[in-house]
Parts: sequence; structure tokens; C-alpha cells
Amino acid sequence: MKSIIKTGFIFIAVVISNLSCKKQLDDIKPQQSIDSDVALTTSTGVVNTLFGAYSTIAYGIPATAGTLGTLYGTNYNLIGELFVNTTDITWSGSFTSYRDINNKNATATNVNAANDWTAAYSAINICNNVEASIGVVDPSIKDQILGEARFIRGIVYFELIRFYAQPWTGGPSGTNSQAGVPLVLSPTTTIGNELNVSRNSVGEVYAQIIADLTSAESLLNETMDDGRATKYAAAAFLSRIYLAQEDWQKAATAANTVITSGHYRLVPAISQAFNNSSNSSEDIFAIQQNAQANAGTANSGLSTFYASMPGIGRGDVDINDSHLQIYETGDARGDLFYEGTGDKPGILRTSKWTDRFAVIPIVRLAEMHLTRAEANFRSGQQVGDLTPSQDINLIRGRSGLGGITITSVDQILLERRKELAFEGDLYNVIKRTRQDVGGKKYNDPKLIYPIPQFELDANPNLIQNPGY
Amino acid sequence: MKKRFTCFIPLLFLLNVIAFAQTRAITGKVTDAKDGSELPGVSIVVQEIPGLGTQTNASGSYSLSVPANAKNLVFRYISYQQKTVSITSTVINVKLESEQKQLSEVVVVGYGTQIRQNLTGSVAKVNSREIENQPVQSFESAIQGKAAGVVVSSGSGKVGQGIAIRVRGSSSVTAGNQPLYVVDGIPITSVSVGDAVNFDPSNPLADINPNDIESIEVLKDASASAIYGSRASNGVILITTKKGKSGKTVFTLDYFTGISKPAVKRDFLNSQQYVELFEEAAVNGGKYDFANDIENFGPAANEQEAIDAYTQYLEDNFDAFSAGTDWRNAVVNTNWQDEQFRSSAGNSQYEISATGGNEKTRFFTSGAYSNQEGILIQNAFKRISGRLNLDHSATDKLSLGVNLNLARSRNDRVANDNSFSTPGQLVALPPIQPVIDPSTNELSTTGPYYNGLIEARDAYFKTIVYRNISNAYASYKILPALNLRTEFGVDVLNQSEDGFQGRQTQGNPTGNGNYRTVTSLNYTSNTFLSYNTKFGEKHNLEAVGGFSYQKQDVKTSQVVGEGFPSDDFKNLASASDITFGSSFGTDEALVSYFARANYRFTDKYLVALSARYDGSSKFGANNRYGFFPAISAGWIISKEKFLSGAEWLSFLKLRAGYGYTGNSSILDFQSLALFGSSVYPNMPGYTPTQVENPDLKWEKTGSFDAGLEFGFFNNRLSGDFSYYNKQTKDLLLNVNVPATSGFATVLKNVGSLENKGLELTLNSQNFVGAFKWSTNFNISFNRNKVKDLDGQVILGTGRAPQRAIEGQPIGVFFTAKYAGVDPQNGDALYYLQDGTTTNDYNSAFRQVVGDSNPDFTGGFTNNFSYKNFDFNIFFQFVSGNDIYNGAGIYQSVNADFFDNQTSDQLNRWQKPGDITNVPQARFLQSNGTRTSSRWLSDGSYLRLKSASLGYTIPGRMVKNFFSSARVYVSGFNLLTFTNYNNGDPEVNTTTISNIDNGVDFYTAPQARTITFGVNLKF
Repeated sequence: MKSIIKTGFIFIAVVISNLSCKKQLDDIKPQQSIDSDVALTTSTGVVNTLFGAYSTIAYGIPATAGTLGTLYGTNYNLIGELFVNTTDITWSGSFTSYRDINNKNATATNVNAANDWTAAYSAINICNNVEASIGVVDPSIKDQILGEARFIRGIVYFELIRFYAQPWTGGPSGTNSQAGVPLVLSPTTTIGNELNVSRNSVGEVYAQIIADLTSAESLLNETMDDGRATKYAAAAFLSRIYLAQEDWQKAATAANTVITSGHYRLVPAISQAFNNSSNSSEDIFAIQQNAQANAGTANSGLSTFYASMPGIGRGDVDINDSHLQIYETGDARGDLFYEGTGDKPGILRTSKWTDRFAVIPIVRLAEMHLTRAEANFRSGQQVGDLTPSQDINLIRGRSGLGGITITSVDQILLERRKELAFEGDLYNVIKRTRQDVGGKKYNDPKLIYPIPQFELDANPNLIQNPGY
Repeated sequence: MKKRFTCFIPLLFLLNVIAFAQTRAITGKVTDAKDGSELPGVSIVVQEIPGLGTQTNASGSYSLSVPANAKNLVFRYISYQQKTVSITSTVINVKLESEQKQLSEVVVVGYGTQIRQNLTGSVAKVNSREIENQPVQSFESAIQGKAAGVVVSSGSGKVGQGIAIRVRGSSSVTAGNQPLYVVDGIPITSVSVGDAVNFDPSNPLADINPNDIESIEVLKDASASAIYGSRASNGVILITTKKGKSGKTVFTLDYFTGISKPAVKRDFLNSQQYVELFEEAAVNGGKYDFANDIENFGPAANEQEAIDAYTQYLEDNFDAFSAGTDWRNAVVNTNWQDEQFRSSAGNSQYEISATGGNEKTRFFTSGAYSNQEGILIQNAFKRISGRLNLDHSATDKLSLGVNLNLARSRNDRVANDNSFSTPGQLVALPPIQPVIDPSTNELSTTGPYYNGLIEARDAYFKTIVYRNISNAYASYKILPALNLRTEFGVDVLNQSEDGFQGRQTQGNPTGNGNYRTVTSLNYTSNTFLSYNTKFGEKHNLEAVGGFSYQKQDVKTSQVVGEGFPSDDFKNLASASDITFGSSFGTDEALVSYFARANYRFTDKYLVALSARYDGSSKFGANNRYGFFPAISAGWIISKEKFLSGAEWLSFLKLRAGYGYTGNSSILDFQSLALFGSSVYPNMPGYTPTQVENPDLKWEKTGSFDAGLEFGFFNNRLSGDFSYYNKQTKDLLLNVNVPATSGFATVLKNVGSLENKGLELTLNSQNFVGAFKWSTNFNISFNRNKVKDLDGQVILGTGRAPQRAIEGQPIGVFFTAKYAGVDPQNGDALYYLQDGTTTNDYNSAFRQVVGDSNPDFTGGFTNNFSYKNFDFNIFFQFVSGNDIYNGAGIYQSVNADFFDNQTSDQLNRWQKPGDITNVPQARFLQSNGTRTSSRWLSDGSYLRLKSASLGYTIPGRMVKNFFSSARVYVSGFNLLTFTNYNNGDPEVNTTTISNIDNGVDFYTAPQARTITFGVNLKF
């Protein structure tokens, strides 16, 4: 009898304890992620999501960061140089994905083409989320937040169209029906066949970029904390886009807007424009880095590839000694080089990218002067209060050189090459001025990325670029 | 907390029920029925109290105190028939008949045990003898090749790393394919919790001392494993630790020591060959550059100018690499391969254990220290462990006990193969680079890559684990046939990873410190009733039913810092900059109900039903619960009358079963739309990480198993022949989505795959008597096929072009097919779709060129003994799998870049008409460097995995000191027979992967080890 009672107790205990265990399944929630409902239903949540876009365009997708560099923190500079800079640099690194770009024989499975594509569209999706949820943002910052989302979307589409499509042709009124990249303008919330988008034309993508950046310019504040988009960051990017379209008038106007804003001034010495821990006075838009958050120190990041100092950099981008010949005697910009002392020592390196945790300038005021000079010179008009020669001499003077008189556009482009060397600008210049690269034409199929093979596999509506 | 606590109330109830009983002493002698020889070490247990027993001593005698209610004694001895004798007097002498052990042995199954001949499912068993005293870190290595259908692959010769196990093939493309591990009834943490970015997976199973293991059972088919339901698709491995045996306390001392060297080395170029090949390559590179307007070094006016530019570039670099030494005359000739290995890696293991007790309380306790150096410099594994297994019979109804295990292991690790700093990548350095730079007298830093010897000197990465795998149980006999058992187990895994890199290491100008900790608490309670009865003469029913609750909480934290004042300061307290700091937590819970019934009719016809109902926190509310039933039946044909005249046939059983199992080895919270955190200076933010899928559910495998178990000639020859067919559907698949959506993949239940196979196990007693020779052979054939992936291709993420594609086995190599070299111009050629060749890689036809899955695998053991000598030799084999040398694009690529090349590259094409497989050496021109089948080879091998010669010192010589003493010498990986000539065929750089298997990437070969040991009992 006693044992029956005991047995009864045990069974009751079993049943009770089991019911309590069952409830625990529902109590288990993620500890370091939040549900999308939480993320996008508060003003702070939407702002934080926007901040995620800044992180993505700087360092790539968090989960894959540290594999190979992407976007502004690495590739928008480095890949551009490798594609077109046959004279000034030699790639001596072991990453075949970079070497193939350098040798113009990349394949459709190129890892950089894949990473840059994925990260760019990840940033775009974030911007689309922010735009779609803008209604919950505190009215006092709503315009700024929407402006930033459109700014990031606009500039990322511009980078995509630069690297995955043939350049703009036909001047400001060109139609440009050649294949661009797919325009995705709404957030992804479910997975279905509607995601199988097609490539829009280059003309359509440019129109979207201009619409985004123009809207951003009108929405954004004049100044913000370092790293965040402003009205003038939008204008500066617009000047790049108009230059690419050979719309000289608008390019000069956009550049002039930035120059005359009064918010930026050239740093006294060119060397002060780089390796800073915060924006310099001439940074219009710059990627922020510090010891905790950066584009990478092992397999990614600009200093990783360009630098060769003890413990810093892989020394993968060798600067050819012949490059120094383009600088006149006394040009401070010709001193922005050093002989490597880290990996692969003894080889010439650029001093622009030596600090792993420093700000990476994306648009500097110097570029605006160079752009205004070129646009004004080409259009024969004068937007702003300086002549092309005066704009150029401002830049030359800062680096200790005397004035010159501009009589040809090549002079301006040479000055641009010296000023913006190894900052990723050369790619744009080569494409818009239609210069040959080695033995290849500016629009050679191998001078742009392939559409990544995995993307073609996942989306039957996409068409590969010729040559891949 | 209160809720959690109530889950374990049943345990407390049982502990309260206590009573006492009377005892009497039984003595006797056990002899061989045939020749009357005394049998030492025979196990004797009281049938009614399975935990109560003893062993015969050297003269075959025993004594045992048994309680009044004990009715029968069971005598068991290896190779002899089990005998049950009723206790009718205080002296019981027993003669045992020799027999094939297999059929009557007790096999551990989920929540109980069964006699092998009554099994209706497929269970492989490996006994302690095959696991003990080997120079391995964890028991999985010791069962490689020992059980049919269980494929064990240790990724490399690094010590302490994770080991891949496949039970009857890979059942999933995205979710895990590793089996569930259960120690003494409690599922344990078996997946690496270590730093997965920079290092190979660590192995939580290495915290278990293999010598503590009594047996390992592998539940292979659904009828055996469905009682583990949602986690059983990949098989279940049950580990049973040694239990105490009552009687005189027996002490055992085990000691062995040995040395290891790499089992296989490769041939690389020496300095003279290196210079010759690269000078030739530079000339060809210049010519090619000029002819094709590449202008790598700017425009050239003529061909010679281009050649000069290339040669200049090469020689400038050689001047640098050689650190000013005369490379033209090969003054320096460094064998970098030798630099990556220790000149001799030592190992030793000490263990003392004791077992004993009385009829009420039995114990087994052990303490062990194992110290094993890896063959790679810096790589080492040490473990100190202790165990106490205690069983107590409180009354004739209540028994209880604990299994306590504490271990500390320390693994000195080297970075994964994908790192410049890892010793394996030293082979990339040119032979003209001196180890010591004469100008600095320091390790040279002049090569094209980081000198990993600096890492070995100035950096460390220690993984230290404190582990407690313990459980307590109470068992109460409610009625003679009805037993209630409740058990509670914890697995506490506390792992710290302490790393430091000095200021001369790559990328750490001010030093780098890294400290990561993981605390995993994994606890389980099982409560179940078992019912075991015979009704009538012919019916026998065994049933078990109960429930289980398991929860795992994992918390990790990591801090990384830089800015150390000097290399003498290694703790993060001295770091001026904290560059990374994070903590992370996740948890999961599983609530389960399970039941099984085994019915036997006249001991000839067997039927079993089992089922489990699992609820998991991993899935969305829509599909949180899953049901996993199985049914099986067996027919012992040899017991039928019509075969009673067949003297030659000792045993014949046919069995078949079908059931469902699941797989939930995915990350937590995959069904939710989540935003993770992102970092940016002063702008911490969110980024979307996954899209919602509320319908996410279990991956389900329906598996059919049929087997024929047989014994011939008085069971001198016995075996098992099985066929299985596992169909997995609703795959938990990372489906590729267009990245334009902002996501690359989403986890969905899409697609199906299958594994079909045959397994044959044969055991033969070739000679019995004074000279004994027995043979065990097993062979398994598995055919994996991915049937449906919704039309998509799942790419691997490793160093080889691997993928999962419909209609092919998982992980096939899919790339351009290399067609050798154009005899006219030395260009690398690839096949087009029509079978013709091209030198344009981009137009090459991408196709399946190989398969990393073996056609068959197995093992072959021979045991000999004569008088006091015993000899054991074990071969293991794998056949039909391909291996891809992922480092081929750097090291076997006709001098395309500065990496030292394998010697076979000397066979490069040099002049028109040359017939070779190695293209013209063309520096920097990517001639044949593209991913292709060029680096794919057949990886089949037959390996003399172990051989051991032992001598048992005759009792009279040692009896004053020991009851028995054995000395032995053993060798491991002594010989390898293979056509694979790129190093060791037993490697995989990703260690544990679904798709990326069979890839070498500077991977360390297995160790060849010789050990000398003694085993003393007293």
C-alpha cells in the first residue's frame, strides 16, 4: 500500500514537472538579435538600422567581414586601381581574385565581384527598409534620416554601375540602353520569385542615382557628425555623376556648391589629409574607423594591401619607381611615399594608407576644385569665382608648386592624377576620358566586373556581362 | 528558476526510498568446458542486480557476496557462451563453452539494454579493448574502421581537433551531419564551441578519457535510433563508461610512451631547381606579356625588353628573399617542410584505476594524465581526468548511483590551414630563403610570405577546457516487472582560449592579445518506466516509456587588445587598446516523450515499436513539435524446427525495420526575421541578418533497414549483412536567393536526398586452442545522392570547387576539366562541352569531375595469440574518393608565382612536342592556374592503422607484485598503400563539413606513432 502511494506521488510529480518544462520552449528568445518588428517600429530602431548601412558600405556585411575587403573600406579604391592602373602599380599579392583583376583575366566566379555585389545590395536593402519605415521616425530628424538613406542608396548604385556595367556614353543626353544593374527600391520581407529581378539599363540606373542624390541634397543637413551624409556630400557625389555623364555645367555647379558652402577648407599640407583619427577639414565624406570598428587588418582594409610597415599591411600593392617621375621637383605629393619595412620590404609604397584605424577620405575638397576646373575648362564657362587655372593653382600651391596656366585638359587630368593618386579616382577618369588601359580599350569587357556566377545561378533573369 | 527545478523532482522522490537486506557468500571456480583450463577475468554478475558482480582471479576462482533475494548468477567471458546458474549452494563451479561472443552480448540501446540476438535494429558495438591505450585524443579516432557504416575522418595530424563521423552517409546539405553523442544516458555537447574563424573546430569529445569507456554502441538505423527522435538522423553514439564490479579491489596501472613523426611527406623543389624553374618562367612570362600586350611592367619596345623586365623583377625579389645570400649558387637551401614539424613528437599516458565493492556498493574510479605532442611545431594536447562511477543497491527495490567525471584539457593549437601563420604554410616559402637572416641573426622575414616560425616563437594559442560530465540516477522497482528510473545529467563545459601574438608577428606591431571564454551548461533529465514480463510460455514483452527535458545555455565572451608595452606582457590588462569586446549568448530547449515496446514470441519472432515526440525551441511556433515513429521485426530462422538438423548453422536471423528520424542541427532562431548588431565608430546599428520563415520545421529521414545475421560452424564464422535506404526530405536547406534582395541565403525546408548502402561484417575464429587467430572484417558501401534542391546549386565554401547538385552525391567537385598541355605551345588546356579542348578557361565546360565520397570503406583486423604473446594488426581502407589539393593553385602551378613548387612541376612543357601534364612555366601569366580538375586525384588508400605486439609476463614471475602484467609495443599509421602522391590521403582541411570534404590545403598529415606500454593489475 505504502509503495502504491509513493508511486502515485511520483507520477503526479512527473506530470507536473513535465507541464512546466513545456512552457520553457516559448521562453527562449534570441539574446543578441531583435525581431524586425522591434527594429523598424521605433524611431531609434530605424536610425540604428540606417547606421547599419554606414557600417555595411564601409566594412561589408558583418557576418562575412574579415574574409576579403569590400566597398568603400577596401575595394572601391583598390579594385579601381587594379582594373586600370597598369603604369603606376604592380600587384604582388597572393590573392588570386585581386591578381586576376590586375591581369584583366578575372572569371565569373571572382570572389571580389561576388563580395562587392552582395554587400552593395545588402546596404541598398537597409536603405530601402529605412525609407519604407520613415513614418515612425521622430519628425525633427526625419528629413535627415531619409536623406541619408537615399544618399547611401544613390552612391552605392553609382559604385555598382561603375564596376558592373559599361560606362555612360553619348554625353548628357545619351540614352544608355546598355545593361546596367537591377534597381531594387523596396525592402525584402519575404522570399519568392518576385526577387528574380532583371538588369535595368545604365540610363535608368543613372536617373535613379540622380533622383536619390538630388532628393538627399535637399533633405540633408548642412553639417553632421563625422561620417554621416550631408547636403554637400550629396552634391559632391552628384559632381562625380555629372562628370561621368560629361554634363560639365552641372558638374561644375555641384562642385561649386560644395566649395562655396564654407564648411570645408584644404588642409595646409597634403600629408595632413590622410591617416587622421577624425575627418580633416577637407573631408566632405569619409569612412570612419577606429580600433574597434574598421575595414580589417588581415585580409581586408586599404592599409592591409597598400602598407608594408612592421606589423602593418601585406605590401601587396607595389608602387613602381617610374611613378615618381610624374611629380615635379618640390611637389609635396611626390613625398607621399616610403620604402616598405614590413612584408616584402624595400619596395616603394604610398603613404596615404598606413594607419589601420584611420579615417578613409572618400571625397576631398581638392577633388571639387579639380572637378570645377575641368568642367569649367571643358564647357568654356565659369561657374564659381575661380578660373580653371586658379582652381588648379590652389591645389598646386598647397603642395609647394608654382602656378601654371591651363591650356589643355590634359594638364588638369595630370594634376588630378597626382593629387588623387591611389585614391581610386583613376578608374573614373580612364572611363570617362576613354583612355586605353595597356593594350585594351576603355570599354574592354575585362575592365569591369562580371555579374557574379552565384547570382546568375540564383536568378535566371540576369544576363552576364560580355567577356565572362 | 522554480520552474526549472520542478523538472527534476522525480529524482528526489526516488532518493527517499531506502531499505536493507541480508547477504551470503558464494565461491567457486570457472574452467573451460573443453580442456578444463582455468579462466581468469570471467565476469560474474547477479542476474537480479546487474550492477553486482565480480571477476575470476588468475586461477579462475571467485568469491561474491550476494543478497538473499539473488537467485541466479550470470557468467560471461569473451569468446565463451554466457551461462546462467541458479544459486543453490554456496560453492558454484562452472564450466564455460567457447562460443562466438556476438550473439549473446548485451548491447546498450536508448533507455535500456538488449541481448544482441533479440535486436531488430542495426547497432554496431565497439568494446573497450579496441579503444584503450592508443595515442589518440578522443575515442572516435580509435573506432575508425572498426564498425561497418561508421566513417570516421580526422581532418589532419593536428592534435585535439574535431573529427568528422558519418553514420550511413550524409543526411543533410545545410544542417549538421554529425551523430548525437550520449554518455551514460545523457546527451552531451559534442560540437565545437571554440573560435571557428581562425582555428579548426575543437573537439569536446577529447575531454573524455577513452580508457574510461566500457563500450561504444552506434545506433545506425531508425528502429534503433528513433527513440532519440529529432536528433537521430545522423545516428546516435552511445558511450557507456566502466562500472564498478564487486569483489576484491582490482587496481590497474596503464602507462605508455612513444614518439610520432609525420606519416607522409611531400617533395618540394630545392634551391637549385627553384631558381632554374623560375628563371625559365620569367623569360617565358616576358615573351607572353609582349606578345599579348599585357604590359604588366609597363610598355616594352621589344620582346627582349619585356623579358628583361620580368627577369629583373624576379631577381630583385630573389635578392630580397635570399636575404643577401648567393641564391644563384644555392648557398641557402632550406627545407621548409621539415621546419613545420617537430624533430620528434613525444607522447605519454599514465593511468591508474581501481574497481571493487560489495553487494551493496560498487565503484570504478580512475585518474589519468595524457600528454601528446602533435607532429606540427607548437601543437600539443594534454588532459588530466578523473572519474568515479558509483552504484549502490539501497534495497532490493531501490538502487542509485552517480557517474562523476572531471577533466581538464589543454590544447596548444596552431591556426587553421588558411592562415599564413600556420606551420603547414611554411612550405610556400622559397628554398633560397634562409631560416635565419644572416644580416640580423633573427628569423628571416624576407620571403614573399610571413615566416610562420615567428608565430611559433612569439605567439601561442592555448585552449583550456574544464569539463564535468556527470549524472546521477535512481531506479526503483515498483513491481517485479515494472521499474521506474530517473536520471539527471549535467555537462558543464568551460573553455577558455588564450592567445597572444608578439610584436614581430604579422599584423601586430604592438602585440595582440585575445581571450575568449565559453561556458556551456547542458543539462538533461530523463524519467522512464520499463516493464519487462513474460506471459505464458511463449510471450515476452519489454516496454519502456518516459519523458525527457534538455536545456543548453551557452555564453561566450571575447576581448581582443593591442598596444602591449612589450612581449613580456601577455595579459590583456597590459593592452592599451581594446580593439574588440563582445559577449554572446544563446540557449535551446528540447522537451520529449518517448516509448518503445519489444515483443518476442517463442524467442523466434521479434517485433519492436518505438516513437519519440520532440518539441524544440529551434523551430517556429507553427512547427515546433515533431513525431518520429519506427517499427521493426526479426525472425530467428535458426530456431525453426526445419533447420534443427543443420549442424553447420548456429544462428540465422532476418530483420527489417522502417522508421522516421529527424535532424535539427541548425543554429538557434532560424525561423525569425532578425536584425543583428553592426559596428561603426559612434554609430552602433542594426543590420538585417535573416528573413522570416515561420514554417521552418524538422528535416525528416525515413529509413529502411534489412539485415541478415548469421553464425556458422558453432559460430566460428559469424556476421551481419545489411541493406539500408535512407530518404531524407524537407531538407533544412540554405537556399540561395538573389543577393539583390539584400540576403544571400534563407533557410527553408526544401528538397530531398538519399543514402543507400550495404554493410558486411564478418567475424571468424580461424584457430582456437593454444594458438588463437581471429579475424574481423567489415566493409560498407554508401551511395549518397542529392535528389531535389528545387533546381538550385549549393556551393561549398571551402578551398575546392565543390557543391551540392541534384542527381549527384553531396560535395562533388564541379569545375573545368583539365585536358593537359598543348604539345605545340605549352598552354594549359581544358575540355569544352563537346569533348574538344581549349586554352580559354572562360569557355571551358564546367562539369562534375570528381566525388569526395568513397565508394566503400572498411577495416580488417587480425588477432593472434600464442601462450603469453598476443599480436594484433589492423588495416583500414577507403576507396573511390577523390581528393583536391586546394593549395595546388599555389604550389603545383608551374612557377606562376613565388611559392615553392612541388617537385612534379619540373616536368613542365619546355619545347614544342613535349608531352606532359605540366604547362609551360610562365611567370605571372596564369597558365593553367585556374581552378580545374588539374589538382584532383584518387584518394583511395589502405592503411596499416595499428599493429601491436604484447607479452603477458607469466604469473609466477610477477605474482608477488601483480596479479597480471603485460608489456606491449604498438605502431600506428605504419604503412600506407595508395596511388595518391600529393601527401597524406587522410586529410581534410575543413575538418567537419557537409560539402567541403576531401580537400588538402597545406594540411598536416597524420602522425606515425610508435608506443611502448605496460599494463599492470594488482
